[in-house]
Amino acid sequence: MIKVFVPLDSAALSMGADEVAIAIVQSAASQGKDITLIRTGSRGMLWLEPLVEVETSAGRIGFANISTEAVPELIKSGALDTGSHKSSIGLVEEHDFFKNQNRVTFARVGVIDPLSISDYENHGGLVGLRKALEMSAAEVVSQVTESGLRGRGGAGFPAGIKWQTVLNTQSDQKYICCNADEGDSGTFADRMLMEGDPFTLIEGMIISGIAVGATQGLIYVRSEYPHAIDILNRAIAMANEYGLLGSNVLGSKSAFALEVRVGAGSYVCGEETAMLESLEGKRGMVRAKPPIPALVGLFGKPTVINNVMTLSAVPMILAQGAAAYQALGHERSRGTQVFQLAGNIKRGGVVEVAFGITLGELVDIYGGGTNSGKPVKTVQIGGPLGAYLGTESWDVAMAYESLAQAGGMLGHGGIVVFDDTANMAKQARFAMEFCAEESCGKCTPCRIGSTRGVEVIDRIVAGEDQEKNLELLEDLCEVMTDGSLCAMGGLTPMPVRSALKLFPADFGIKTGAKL
Amino acid sequence: MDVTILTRMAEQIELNIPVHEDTYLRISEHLVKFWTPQMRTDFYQQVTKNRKDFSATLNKVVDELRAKANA
Amino acid sequence: MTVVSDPRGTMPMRSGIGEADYGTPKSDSDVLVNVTIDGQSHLVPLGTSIMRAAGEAGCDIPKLCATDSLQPFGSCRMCLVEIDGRKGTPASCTTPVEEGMVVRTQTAKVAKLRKGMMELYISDHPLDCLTCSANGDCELQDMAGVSGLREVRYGIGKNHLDAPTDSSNPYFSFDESKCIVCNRCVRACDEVQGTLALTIEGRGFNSKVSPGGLNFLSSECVSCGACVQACPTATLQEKSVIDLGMPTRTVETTCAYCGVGCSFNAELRGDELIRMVPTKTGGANEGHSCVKGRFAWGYASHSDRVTTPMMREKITDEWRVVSWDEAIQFTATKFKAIQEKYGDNSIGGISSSRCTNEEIFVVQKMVRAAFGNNNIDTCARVCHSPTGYGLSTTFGTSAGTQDFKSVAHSDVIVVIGANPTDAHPVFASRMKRRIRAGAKLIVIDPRKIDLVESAHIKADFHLPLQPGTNVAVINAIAHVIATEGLIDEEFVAQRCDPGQFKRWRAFIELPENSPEVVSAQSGVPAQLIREAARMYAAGNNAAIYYGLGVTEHSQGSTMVMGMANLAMATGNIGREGVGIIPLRGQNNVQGACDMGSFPHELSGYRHVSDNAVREQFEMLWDVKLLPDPGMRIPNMFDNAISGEFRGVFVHGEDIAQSDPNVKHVHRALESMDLVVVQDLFLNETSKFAHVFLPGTSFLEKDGTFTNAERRINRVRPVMAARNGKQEWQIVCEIAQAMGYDMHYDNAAQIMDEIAQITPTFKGVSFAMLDQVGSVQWPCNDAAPTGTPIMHIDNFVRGQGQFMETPFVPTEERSNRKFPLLLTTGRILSQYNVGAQTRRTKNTTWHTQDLLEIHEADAAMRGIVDGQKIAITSRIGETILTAHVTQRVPAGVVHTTFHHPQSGANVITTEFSDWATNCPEYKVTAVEIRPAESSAPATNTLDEVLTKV
Repeated sequence: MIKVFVPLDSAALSMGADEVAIAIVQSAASQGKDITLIRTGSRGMLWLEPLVEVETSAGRIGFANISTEAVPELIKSGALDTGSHKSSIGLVEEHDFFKNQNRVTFARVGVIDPLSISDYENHGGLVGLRKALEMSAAEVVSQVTESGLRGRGGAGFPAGIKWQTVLNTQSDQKYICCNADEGDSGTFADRMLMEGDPFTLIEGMIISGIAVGATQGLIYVRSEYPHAIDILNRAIAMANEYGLLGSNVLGSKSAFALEVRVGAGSYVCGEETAMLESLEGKRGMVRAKPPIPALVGLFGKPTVINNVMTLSAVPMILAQGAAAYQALGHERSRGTQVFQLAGNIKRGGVVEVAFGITLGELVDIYGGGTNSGKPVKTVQIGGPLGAYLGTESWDVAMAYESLAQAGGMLGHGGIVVFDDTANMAKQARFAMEFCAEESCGKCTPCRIGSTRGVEVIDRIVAGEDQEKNLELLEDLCEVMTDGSLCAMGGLTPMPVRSALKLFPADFGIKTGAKL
Repeated sequence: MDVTILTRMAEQIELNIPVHEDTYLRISEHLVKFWTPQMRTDFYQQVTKNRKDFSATLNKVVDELRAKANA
Repeated sequence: MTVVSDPRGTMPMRSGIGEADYGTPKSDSDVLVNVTIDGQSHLVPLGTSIMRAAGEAGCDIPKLCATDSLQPFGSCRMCLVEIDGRKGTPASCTTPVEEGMVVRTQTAKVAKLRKGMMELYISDHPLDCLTCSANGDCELQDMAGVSGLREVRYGIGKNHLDAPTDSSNPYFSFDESKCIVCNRCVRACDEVQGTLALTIEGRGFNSKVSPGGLNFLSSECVSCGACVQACPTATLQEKSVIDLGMPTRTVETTCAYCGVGCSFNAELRGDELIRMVPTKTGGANEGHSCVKGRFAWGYASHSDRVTTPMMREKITDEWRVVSWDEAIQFTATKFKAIQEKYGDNSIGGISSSRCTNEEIFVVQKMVRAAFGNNNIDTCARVCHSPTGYGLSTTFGTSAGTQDFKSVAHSDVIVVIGANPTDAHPVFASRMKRRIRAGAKLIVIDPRKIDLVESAHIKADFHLPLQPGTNVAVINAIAHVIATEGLIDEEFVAQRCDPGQFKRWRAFIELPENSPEVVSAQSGVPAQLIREAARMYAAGNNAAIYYGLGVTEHSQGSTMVMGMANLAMATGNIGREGVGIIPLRGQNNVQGACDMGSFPHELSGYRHVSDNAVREQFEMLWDVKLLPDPGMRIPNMFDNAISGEFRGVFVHGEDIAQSDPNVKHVHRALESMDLVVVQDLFLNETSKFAHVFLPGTSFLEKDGTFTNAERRINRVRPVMAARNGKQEWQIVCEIAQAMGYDMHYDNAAQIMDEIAQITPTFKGVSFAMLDQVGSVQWPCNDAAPTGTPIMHIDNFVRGQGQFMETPFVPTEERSNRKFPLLLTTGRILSQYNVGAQTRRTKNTTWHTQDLLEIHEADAAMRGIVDGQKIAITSRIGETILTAHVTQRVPAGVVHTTFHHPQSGANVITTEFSDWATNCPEYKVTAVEIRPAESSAPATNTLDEVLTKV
């Protein structure tokens, strides 16, 4: 009996993984080959999808870019036994993209059957939760605090401090809300984890509930992730069945219930307070802070809001101890970061490594440069409102503070690469346009400013009153940055200002013009 | 005033005041408090003329009204 | 008269030109924190926003989206400040002060941001300030000035300047092109009114205020005007301001519609009333209003107003305009003549709950002192007389126990026979706010009123009882409480009469009062009664609010006592959040009762037989008073028909339309020798009158109204009396012409006399009210600042008096001939018989009275929605338009009585409350058939079902 693994991750599905899986089963049957097909998440080497794997005594060997047409030949060739084939990439975990990664959060993604609790447990799952159930709430919180885990949604706020605030706040009801409204361009780590290893997130949320005294969790998933929603719902049903969720978590006295809520296609609902409004069934409009959600959150109750990546790091922290996680990282950025390489890049995918890797390493070594083969012009990190950085920033260590110092922002860890054909005035305009499109419309700088930004950039590019309009754009950027209610309007000037600074020529600005 | 109206009113009051040994007192107090002297007089005459058409309580009520008036 | 001149300083204000706006609500915290603002340190309550702290200290921070009637929102970003030790520029509206905080409100940084923000606003705003209807009263204009914006550099770009104006509402328009999307209207609709009719549609630059649907008129908007008041620009503007221009002065006064008693600033230019704006300092309404109070005042200048006295010998004659002297002389002479011929008792008066305390006091004084009898009654007879009887018997005071604010502390709210969202809308908003914040709600009403289910409101229990079974249901609730061990024994032992309690307990525990028995009588499932009873008893603070659905029954007084029993049994009396609260129908029902206009009582609810009290009045008035009760209104009618009662002074009440069994009333009026009517308009009663004395509208009156929470509010003359006299003057002149010396220089002297002779009013005077705004009686040496909550340590009567409340079914029952029960009610836009509201644009919403009929009853009779139907009782018949609905249960029909042609009282019966003779308006057995066919509907249910 040969175990064959085919990803069910959306990225793989978009490359025909489902059809390939069917073809494998059919071909194996028709060729009398006794196989077991297991669907997994994706290894995150997206340029190799569909990446079919087969279990061998040496480990799992991968066959890259398998099409349905190639399947009969693949099986016929005996590759499933020998592992050798023209499409073989050898042992998957020895692949140069993979072998130096430090997969902590993503340890099981692409490896296990995402909808098998036993597979999950066999790969180290539930160890953290079992430990947490033995501890006091305060001890669990202090584990997280000591690990140095910071929020992976973008703001990088220490998770332990947030949890402590919720723990300290008396209330008849508290909530754990997982922000899975992964809307930034070039980001897909949340989706891949939810599709490839949902129990890690579920376990993380249960631990969080135990830590702060919350009995209800909600996962807010964007509607564009139907597969993730489906897998989460199935995983939650299994967890309820198993006793992982419910009134006695793993037979303990702790209760935890979990539900998936689906967004409605709004980018700003990824902002935590707009997400709360949306979860309450209201229009996704940003709330003013204070009060912070840790004190007054969902339905006015103390609420932990963490990103998928933050919560999914928690089981490992509990399982292996705060120190193990804390040992990884760079300066005040502890642990690992799941970087996502996208855009015009040769080898797109997920790179989980400790903080501190350089930007150049990620783009050139992991990513292999541009897909077009042309020189890299710039990268945008942290989503559509992140700053553009040029190759002069190649040595910047990828961590919260060092990146900020270089004028960038880590955000959710997405890196989008552009080659030298990119027009950065268009990209700057796009930032304003994106903001105009996605603004919740509450605060003035974002609501009106973004539309004016598009108009002013157009005038600059058209050469109208360039000097005055550049001054106006700068004033506008200041008003938006310092005056906006939330990060949506506040960050929009980042790509605009960085594009203008790095590539003035793209805006038709003559060299030497006053900026 | 039409005595049939007064009778109706008195009987409705009687129906609504629960039966105890002091019910007649409460009814007569009510009439003293809220009825004009003319209404009470007319009602008194009506009852005393046709005692058997009225309940024992209402008979006691008018006697009480009489006693009060004389006091 | 107090005229508040416009005190606008450098900072703009919108919520009434007379009131300051501190941007965010006041904090109730007792803890004070020290904050330094622009170098000055201040102590402010914890939870206060920086904006409010600064404003109170005189350092106003610019703002557009903030207003102190709404929670902070933080959208305009005009109020950004710098705080030492904090990065960035937080919004001062959403940032609360903290101990030791050092705030700078005016720095180069924030000045630049504010200017930049304003530049963005103005880049999408029409620059037509000089011709704009908000010119001079526009916060955007003011903020543009404050920000120092001198140039808008953005040039022509995307904008909303061509957005259309929605003029569908008769009172205000919505000019979207001027909207700055501050959300104040949307938030006001949510937080203040609680209707949630408005929302923001679209995202980003396309965000816009939307009433949902086609326009404001067709939306769920209830035209309360909270949005108009909240709007900082001309976007939502009163049409009167658009037509007439900005007001320049204000006079604070009190609304004359329902018993909520909202305070308003009448905003005028010269003597022209431009708009009414509810005042935030108004104790009853705290800045809120409804469509009637804010907008429906145009009747005061309606061309139907009669402004000169008129007379005629016979009611078949034409009216003849006469001088005041002639009218008064004639009236006095005729009254005297009648008395000479038929005796002192042959005349009387009816006072009106629509008038001021001073006017009412003078009317009853005229009757007692000049007429020399006690034949004075008031229209409260037909609404809340059972409240007086029931609450004084059980608690000792004829009034509600709470102030309106109390509802904010209720955990369980019971609404019985009241429809606050239509009839007491401003209080309903308060109540809904509390319910949305988590209080439980029990509705006991045959109809599915809006509170049963509306936006973000859902009653936990609705008990849809059959009309006429109130007492059975309240007894069943009490039965559950008594038999399930839910009585607050400690409260009862400490506060109530033990003997009466024992009697009551034995009675209420009888099986006849069990939910299972009552279920059959009332149609309410026993389990529903049990659960509602448990919820009421288990609630920490439970309050009962009720209306005419309780009182206007043959057992109205019993029901009031039944509710009082319930409150005593569960200890829900004597603190915030609890109590028994009548929602009074008219602006001054409470006052009419307080002022001694019942035939058996002198002011302050003291029986005429009390020699000591009577002697005080006799000394003060220098006249002998009778020790026996006079006639009630129905007695007057009955005695008129029998010829003993021959003259009546009817003060501001249309008895020929509003009293039940109008045919009987008409016969009584026709029988009289002199009917004097004092009113604003000719009405149904004036058809039977010999003298018509023109009255004053509330905009012309000087005096006080007392609302349902015993709050005495000032009514100040906004404009000169159109008839040339205050109504109390007219009454005094009649009394004088009859030979009794009755004279006052002004209304304040009348109140001084009331205070002198009425212990509960001892501390009240106009001077005092002008100083403090309003006060709730009792206001005397023991309670110099008034009494928001009554019966705190003891009941006014000493010990609380439990009363047995046997259920005696009304004789008015449905039967083969009249199988349906008719009940009546009110609608939001109209008021009572409609004399005022029908003379305003409120007719936009309710052009005719409709008969609500359940779809099964309609189908059985072949009646479709909108069809003319004939409705018949054993008393009479009238024609109405059918509204087929599920709002009423099968077997029950409902109508309003706002339009005289509907003639609802043509069919109501002579039955009344056993104790007070309050008419049984709420139960009339009727049959209904299509008006076109003259044949009576004889279809049985079986026949209909066969046809179907």
